[in-house]
Amino acid sequence: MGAGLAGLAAAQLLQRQGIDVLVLEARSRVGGRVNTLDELPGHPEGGANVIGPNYGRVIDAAKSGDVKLHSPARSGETGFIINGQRILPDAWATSAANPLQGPMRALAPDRLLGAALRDNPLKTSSDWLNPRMAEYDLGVDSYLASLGFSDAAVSLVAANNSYGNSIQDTSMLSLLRVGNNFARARAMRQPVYEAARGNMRIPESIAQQFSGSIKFNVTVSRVERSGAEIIVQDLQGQQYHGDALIMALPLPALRNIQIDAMSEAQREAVTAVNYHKVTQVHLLVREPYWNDALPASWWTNGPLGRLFLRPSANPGEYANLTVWINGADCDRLAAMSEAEAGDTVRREVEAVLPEARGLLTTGKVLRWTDDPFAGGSWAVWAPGQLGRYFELLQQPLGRIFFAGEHTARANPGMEGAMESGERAALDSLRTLL
Amino acid sequence: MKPTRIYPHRTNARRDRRAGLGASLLTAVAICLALASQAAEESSPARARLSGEQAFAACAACHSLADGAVHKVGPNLWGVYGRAAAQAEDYAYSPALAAAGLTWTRENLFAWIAGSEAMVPGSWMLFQNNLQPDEVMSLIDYLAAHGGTGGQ
Ligand SMILES: Cc1cc2nc3c(=O)[nH]c(=O)nc-3n(C[C@H](O)[C@H](O)[C@H](O)COP(=O)(O)OP(=O)(O)OC[C@H]3O[C@@H](n4cnc5c(N)ncnc54)[C@H](O)[C@@H]3O)c2cc1C
Ligand code: HEC
Repeated sequence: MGAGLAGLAAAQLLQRQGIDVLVLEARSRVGGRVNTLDELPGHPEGGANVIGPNYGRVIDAAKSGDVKLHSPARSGETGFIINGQRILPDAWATSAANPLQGPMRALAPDRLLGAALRDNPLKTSSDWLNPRMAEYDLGVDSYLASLGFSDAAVSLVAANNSYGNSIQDTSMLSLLRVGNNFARARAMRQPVYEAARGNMRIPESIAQQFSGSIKFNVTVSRVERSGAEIIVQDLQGQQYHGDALIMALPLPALRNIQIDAMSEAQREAVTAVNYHKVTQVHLLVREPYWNDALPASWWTNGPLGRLFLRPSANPGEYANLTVWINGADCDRLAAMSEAEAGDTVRREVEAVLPEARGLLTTGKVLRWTDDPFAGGSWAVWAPGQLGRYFELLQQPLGRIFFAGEHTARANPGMEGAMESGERAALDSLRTLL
Repeated sequence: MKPTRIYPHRTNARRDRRAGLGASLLTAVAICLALASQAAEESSPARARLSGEQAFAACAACHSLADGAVHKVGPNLWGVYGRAAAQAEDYAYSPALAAAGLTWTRENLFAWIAGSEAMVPGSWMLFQNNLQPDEVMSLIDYLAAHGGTGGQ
């Protein structure tokens, strides 16, 4: 179940081992949270964008499918908008609007976290799950305070925190995990990648080489076991029978499925773990508003989150400005129509960047949290949840196995999704041989 | 609604093919076993152990295993068994593995597959999937059979 990278990796592995595999997918496309916006100029990414140099499975899937990878175009320097006031990158340390004190003033808001992660107790990619690290399973705010971060510094870190919907509800272990991954990626001194024609080409290529079948527009709503057989039912009442099942879905999607054999404890885990709220507004930029003195990309501590410029692929083509809104700031846009949300955000961008007035049109609004098949961008772990729920969430129910990014140990994101699919495929293979 | 069968002629044919035994005999055995163990199957199904070749499916995305094959994100593992660590040509190893001074004996391969990053702090192979100890032993045999030398 699920034709995201986790489900596709599992399906491919099993099929190569001689197992008959059917993939059921609720949407009309593969890829799940990989979602290239092919309809927009420059095909920007609406979902996963960065492929790390050590993403072995993702890179192999691309290479074996002739999907070309390249390093993303650089988008130049980032300016800061603090409490509505613009600060140029060079002026940050001395700006009156910089709320930091002492030597910390020299640290740009997007560098603060790096400073907190410098002495990282995590040494391996899976140490975040190591019970010996449980002392770091506390709110990021408390940890930062213990390092001597001022309230102002903590609130800058909180403004664009991607690993929780509030800083108190974000386990420090999540950030230490990210820090460990960044440090390794830096040490590797290799570039990051994206698929040249969009990351969607990667799941598409796995699907194309998969000789089993993928059924689209099948929303599974119920799973039950009858003897050794597993019966899956979709919203239309259509049933599918099999010897084993891999549920490669994000937790918010899993919550909507009745799974007869699931224990109270496991159901609690499925319900309790939240997903990060992300809304992206993709604006088309007709011609540059930026210049040598004015950055294209901006980091704000306000409701617009971060503004990432993706340069146009060819001269004369539209560039893309992705407004990446996260956490509770997504809530106000959830109630609006897509057009209204897009225009609201575009007007707010023009208010802080008057130079861009008249140059922007709204391309696309992606509200991951409101997407019933995703429910957010990725699992976020509150203090106390990793120890209680992580193992439980991948405990098989007989021949029902669980996969998906939230069950991966060593790798995050796309690579984690494929790692988890591989693990679940091997687990199920043992019961099918 | 009419149920769809994912596996119209289920496991028997597959079992026979893999075991390489007479189909009729094995089919009969399989049916008996299936009936006897149906109830137990539901909550904790029998788990076979993966062969070395099957277990290598967990490595294949990052490692080729053929003489002269190109490196993937990890180095080609042809001939790795019995060899000193970090010796594949034209592969950029982590400084940590390059300086580890290891030889890929059975014991060292076992420890590496069980926890490479703990074994060689600062190394770059991120692998944490639950291969079982006896599967890892078969996997090492499988590696040894692909260009392996000496070792023990
Ligand atoms: C905005 C954004 C940015 C990201 N950036 C990065 C990045 O830069 N780098 C990175 O590595 N990762 C990134 N990620 C994370 C990455 O996209 C995911 O970790 C990964 O794609 C998850 O794969 P998955 O297979 O676990 O889940 P999914 O891709 O979500 O796949 C699950 C599939 O199940 C289907 N499904 C759901 N419910 C049902 C149902 N009831 N019946 C049938 N099918 C169902 C869904 O439609 C979907 O296709 C990002 C994600 C987002 C949203
Ligand atoms: C996600 C990618 C990935 C997976 C999966 C993976 N490896 Fe690796 N492997 C690597 C990388 C990267 C290195 C190089 C490590 C370094 O330089 O620190 C490596 C190195 C090795 C080495 C040392 C090679 C040498 O020349 O010294 C061996 C042995 C090895 N891996 C075996 C395996 C086995 C067996 C599996 C499957 C159980 C496996 N790997 C799965 C990425 C991977």
